[in-house]
Amino acid sequence: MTDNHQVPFGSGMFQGQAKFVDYAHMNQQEVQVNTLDEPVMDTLLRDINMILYKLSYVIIPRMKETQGRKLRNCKRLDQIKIGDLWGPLLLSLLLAMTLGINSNQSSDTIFGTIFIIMWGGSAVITVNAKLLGGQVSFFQSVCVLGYCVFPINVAAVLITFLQSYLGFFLRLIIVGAAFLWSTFSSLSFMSSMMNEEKKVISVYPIFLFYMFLSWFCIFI
Amino acid sequence: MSSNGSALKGSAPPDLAKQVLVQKLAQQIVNQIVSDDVIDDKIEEEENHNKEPTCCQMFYAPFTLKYYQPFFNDLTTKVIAQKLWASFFPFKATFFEIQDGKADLYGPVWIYATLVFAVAAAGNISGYLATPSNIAFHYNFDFIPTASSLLFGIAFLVPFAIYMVMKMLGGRHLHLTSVICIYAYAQTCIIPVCVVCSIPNPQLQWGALIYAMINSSLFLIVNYWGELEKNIQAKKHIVIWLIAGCQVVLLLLFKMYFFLYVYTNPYTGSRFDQLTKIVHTDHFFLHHHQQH
Repeated sequence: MTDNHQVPFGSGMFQGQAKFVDYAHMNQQEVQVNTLDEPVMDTLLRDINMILYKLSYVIIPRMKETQGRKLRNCKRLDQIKIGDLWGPLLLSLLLAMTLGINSNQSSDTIFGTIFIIMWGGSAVITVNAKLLGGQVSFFQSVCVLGYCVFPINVAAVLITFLQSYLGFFLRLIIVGAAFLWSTFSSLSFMSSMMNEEKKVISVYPIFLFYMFLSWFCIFI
Repeated sequence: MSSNGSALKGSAPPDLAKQVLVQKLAQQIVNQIVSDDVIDDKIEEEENHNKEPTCCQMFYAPFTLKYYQPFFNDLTTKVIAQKLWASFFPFKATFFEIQDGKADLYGPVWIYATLVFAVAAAGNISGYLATPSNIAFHYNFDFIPTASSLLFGIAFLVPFAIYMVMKMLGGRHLHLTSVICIYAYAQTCIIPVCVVCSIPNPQLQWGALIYAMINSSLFLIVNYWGELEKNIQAKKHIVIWLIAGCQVVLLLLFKMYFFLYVYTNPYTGSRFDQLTKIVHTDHFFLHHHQQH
């Protein structure tokens, strides 16, 4: 697998080939000392910037596979390539809370169900893609699938605040649009790493996953 | 330190050249270390191949990904589509001819996941359409955990039971994963049936569920017929009744838990009535209110 021989080193990762790394500027220990010393706002803002940068990929869905490959390989020099799980965590919490607030009876069931579906679902889809021969790292895929839940979050928040003004069909349209947006966002990423003949079977689970999550939004 | 680094950046060219040299040297050294590691790993792997797996390794093998790789090899969209298509035609025993009868675990996982979604959604839709319009409808989120426990439970337990019974009665050429695989594909017919059952008409629901039961049982029995005839002969009825019985129980559970509410109040009318202007009552189950 491609993950095995990577060594975190300074500001990036390399795969056993010579790649020019700014060794003089910082090494692992110095980075840790710096992040401990800096003000809390700096740390928070850096993480938030990272999350927003990745969200920009979701908001403008990249339909072409070449761009999907670019997303997979994207890294900024001060980030580690494996992808963060902060974004998906925040989005899943937001979604679960939004949907839980609105339902009177079974809010704990909803919260638990959404959490499990989102994290368990991402894990199962990633394992599925890996077993079918896709070349992707586990956390990167979980990260992308988590970030692409953002449109469904937007739909849930919209429906929560405009509940009394929206009839059933308008809700259906909003949730449908969010679902299509989410699916297309993650489509280019996932399909760029599978063979032609296995594309449908690796994309269908993603479709089911977002359908499951969007279905909750219609009925809050 | 960062101050040191910035000082270095602004320093004169000779120091910078030295710095570049030091960086390149460091890079070479680390490359060497990593490639050494790679070689060490490769040697270790080769040595491990020669050893027999220890008892502990055999125990935790199911928890590694590599263990499941053989079930996903050479799977293409075409193969899955063929298997799904074959499950709707129970009278042709072609399932074990697709891809030479290799079991796959893609089918079981995703068919049951789709079924959980379909059943939970359809159950709620039929409940929504069946409640009278003057009563507020609360979406029942408990369908999802119940459906998943039920379906993923039978996904393993029923094939295990069938496998054990067939093995004990003399069946050969049986693998547990292959039974799990074919059992999952037998359940595919329930997915369109769920879509149909979202209409709360009781006759429609019973008819659709009986079709699903017959289709899935026949699919299993016809595909195992060769095995039953050759190796089990006299006692094949035990297996047949076991399979049919499990399907009947499953579909009764569906009807009685997910599609329970078909009642309509003939006076105020359900939301379904308002869609179709037809009035039904279901005499089998409770909730029979009559207002005079």
